[in-house]
Amino acid sequence: MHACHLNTVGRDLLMPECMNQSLRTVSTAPKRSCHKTGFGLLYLVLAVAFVFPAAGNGAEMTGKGRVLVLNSYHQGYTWGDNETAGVLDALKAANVKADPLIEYLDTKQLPKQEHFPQLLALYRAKYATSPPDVVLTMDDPAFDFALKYRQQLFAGKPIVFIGVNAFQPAMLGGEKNVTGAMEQQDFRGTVEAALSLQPETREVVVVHDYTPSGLATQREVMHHLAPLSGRISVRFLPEMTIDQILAALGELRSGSIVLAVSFGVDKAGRVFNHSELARLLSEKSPVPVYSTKVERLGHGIVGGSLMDGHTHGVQGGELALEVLRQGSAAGVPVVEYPRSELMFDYRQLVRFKIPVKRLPQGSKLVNRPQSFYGQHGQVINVALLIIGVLSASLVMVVVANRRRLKAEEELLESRSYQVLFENASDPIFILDCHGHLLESSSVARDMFKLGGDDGQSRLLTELASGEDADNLRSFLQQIRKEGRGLFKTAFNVPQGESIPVEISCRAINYRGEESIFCSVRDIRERVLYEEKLRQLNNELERRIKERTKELTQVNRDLSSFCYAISHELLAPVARLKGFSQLLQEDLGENPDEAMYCAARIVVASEKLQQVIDSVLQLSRLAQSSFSPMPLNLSSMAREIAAEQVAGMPDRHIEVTIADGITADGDLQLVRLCLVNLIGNALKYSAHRAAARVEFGFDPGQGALFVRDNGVGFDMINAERVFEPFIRLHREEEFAGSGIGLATVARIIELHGGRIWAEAAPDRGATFYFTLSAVKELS
Amino acid sequence: MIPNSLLLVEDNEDDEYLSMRLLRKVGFGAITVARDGSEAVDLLLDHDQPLPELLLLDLRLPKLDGLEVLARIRSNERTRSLPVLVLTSSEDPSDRDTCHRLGAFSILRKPLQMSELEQALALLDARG
Repeated sequence: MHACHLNTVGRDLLMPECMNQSLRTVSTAPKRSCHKTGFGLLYLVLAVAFVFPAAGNGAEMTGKGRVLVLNSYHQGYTWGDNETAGVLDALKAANVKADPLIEYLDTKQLPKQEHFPQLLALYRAKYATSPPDVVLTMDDPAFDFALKYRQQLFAGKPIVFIGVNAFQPAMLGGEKNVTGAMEQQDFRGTVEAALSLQPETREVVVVHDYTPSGLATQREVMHHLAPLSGRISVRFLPEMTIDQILAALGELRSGSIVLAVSFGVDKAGRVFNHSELARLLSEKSPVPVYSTKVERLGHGIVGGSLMDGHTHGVQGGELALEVLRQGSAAGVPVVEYPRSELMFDYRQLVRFKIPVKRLPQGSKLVNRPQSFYGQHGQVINVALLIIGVLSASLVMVVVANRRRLKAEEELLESRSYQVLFENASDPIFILDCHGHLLESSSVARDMFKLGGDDGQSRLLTELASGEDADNLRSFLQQIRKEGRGLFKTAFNVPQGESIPVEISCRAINYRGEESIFCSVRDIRERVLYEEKLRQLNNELERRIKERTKELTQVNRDLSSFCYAISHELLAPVARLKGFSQLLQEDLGENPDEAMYCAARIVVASEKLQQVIDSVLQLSRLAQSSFSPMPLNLSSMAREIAAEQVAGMPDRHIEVTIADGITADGDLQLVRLCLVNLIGNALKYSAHRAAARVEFGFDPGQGALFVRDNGVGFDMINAERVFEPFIRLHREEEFAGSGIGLATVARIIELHGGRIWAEAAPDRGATFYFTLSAVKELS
Repeated sequence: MIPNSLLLVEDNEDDEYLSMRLLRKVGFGAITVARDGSEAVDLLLDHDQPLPELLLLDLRLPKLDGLEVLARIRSNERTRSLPVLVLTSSEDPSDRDTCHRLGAFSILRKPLQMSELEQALALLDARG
């Protein structure tokens, strides 16, 4: 296949070398897109591979005649080659069976045509016996040759010419049976195309040489551009050297364009070919250079309506075919304006910032950056087909592989669920919708001694009994409606006992059937803990009640203590008031009674002060710090007794203190204790002629004691004596704060000890009390 | 109007002095004094002794306290309807409740005041 894709088949081989890269008709540039699917791609590729080679079949033309092509030049001369290729394409398209004969006259190498006689001899030898049916000449030398030697070589045979400049019928010299296409450059078409690309154009600067043919061209340009004189002015550069020409072009400004027509030689005699001239002009010109010669395209010109050798050749071939069909050239008129093609160079359009969209309809564009696909379409199609097929195969392999992996995963997953199911620490069952055991985990089988086959048909409710079984049955029915739930019941285990369980159930789909997943938890321990918790709660509640009761009692005690104190305070206050009122109201004339009242007022005041002091003492006791230490109680008691007895010089008192008694206690508090107890003993034994006061340890009671032989009291009051302000005797008999024993009891209580009294009226009293670490050293 | 005989139960000498001083001023003639609860009960329940027309009772008393005395005379046929005026420095509501429950006619605050005593006597008289 061809290296370059063209709309017209077989075209590219015959293009000038400059255009080998690309050529595409702008308006019909096909859009190709990759088909998405493999099968679509397959069809596409098949179409490209097999249908394309057959494409381009023209009309069936079974011309039997042979065509002799006379090429003025040599193989390798672009213009001539393109013409030849066009001719061949035309003949081929018409399915002409006989191969055309091609002769090259080599007039470039031998411009003086001195070899023509030899060619004549050669051709006579070649064609005398079987002359061609039509002679097609290309360019002036071949036309001249054919006319000159027609009689010797091709008498009576029609001649078709192409590439003849400025053809005049007179040139035929009376020869008939001749037709052809003039080599007429399309100057007007080129300038009109330039105007559509650059509407701002006001001047066309024409570059041509001053050879006879150049001057002829100048006249043609003038003639052809005359109709455009309203829009543009045309300026012909005078005869100059190439350098001068280039300098003149360098001064051109926007609004001008350059039209390069025939230019073979400059004023200095320097010869230029088309591409060289095109390159020089366009390099120096700041404005676009247009031309009518296709050979210049790709070498710097923007483009134009170009005379293309190939197109010309095709036209010639078609004329030859027409002549063959008619058997003569007489009825085939000469073509004055041969086909030209609007062709442009993309790179130059870009250089002069001319938008591609301004190109006239049907223009061809070279040097357009092409997609890789554009250049290698078929290869790509085939490659895509292969890729498609491979991709499809790959997809199938991947899909198959994924299915296999998924199947493996599912298998693994089901296996791992099986493992989880079998190894769960709680018994697990799967039940059908009626509660029959479908599956039982190993723990479940062990716990409930379920056999292999006979176990499978059992109902879960059979594990429970009586009311439990009925409740479980309705719970399972509820699971089918609600999806999940918890239920507590008792299950019978083979050892004969019934264990409390909690069943967690969930409706599931098992092997396509509605089923129930049941996890059974042995809650014996939990029940045990719950029972313990309940007991603890009860105990706690009991304790709280007890404590509340105690506190209530304490509150009540405190309240009654307050009333007791208030009474102790109010009593002397009342006396103060009473005696004061007496003084105020009645005793003006009775000085003795007035004196008495005043004295009682003093006593009542003192009493009041004493009560207040004792209350303060009790209060301090409650706040005092408590720091126990070993105490020698014997020496402490002896000291206190000695102190107090010293204050009663007129009494006879026998004090007995046991030796070596020690105990742990707070020094100040225990001392206060003994002060009160010994003081009481001395006080209440005051009536005795021989008072006895004793301190010691009673092993029988396991307690320390303070004993006296005083007035004693009724044991009915044995506990009341420790309440504050309780008086068992008339105050006048035994004065005191009424708070002493309450203080003692409070101190012993603080030490964690106990205090009690034993007494009888008029037979003395003994106060027993305990302290920690009591020792008796004797 | 003024009762002919009265028993005053009072352990404190000062209080006794003040009460006696006022009672005489009001006009009481036959006044007996008991120095503690037991003595008072013994006097009241002794059939050989004349029953006073009015009892003036302290609450804080040695041996038997005032409330106990009140309870005993209320449980005895002879003394059940004896009018009792309680004379105390106690502000304890439970004491007052017990006094009312046991039928004390009135509770008077120490020191005894002329106006209060006369008012109580007037009420007693009105009750009949």
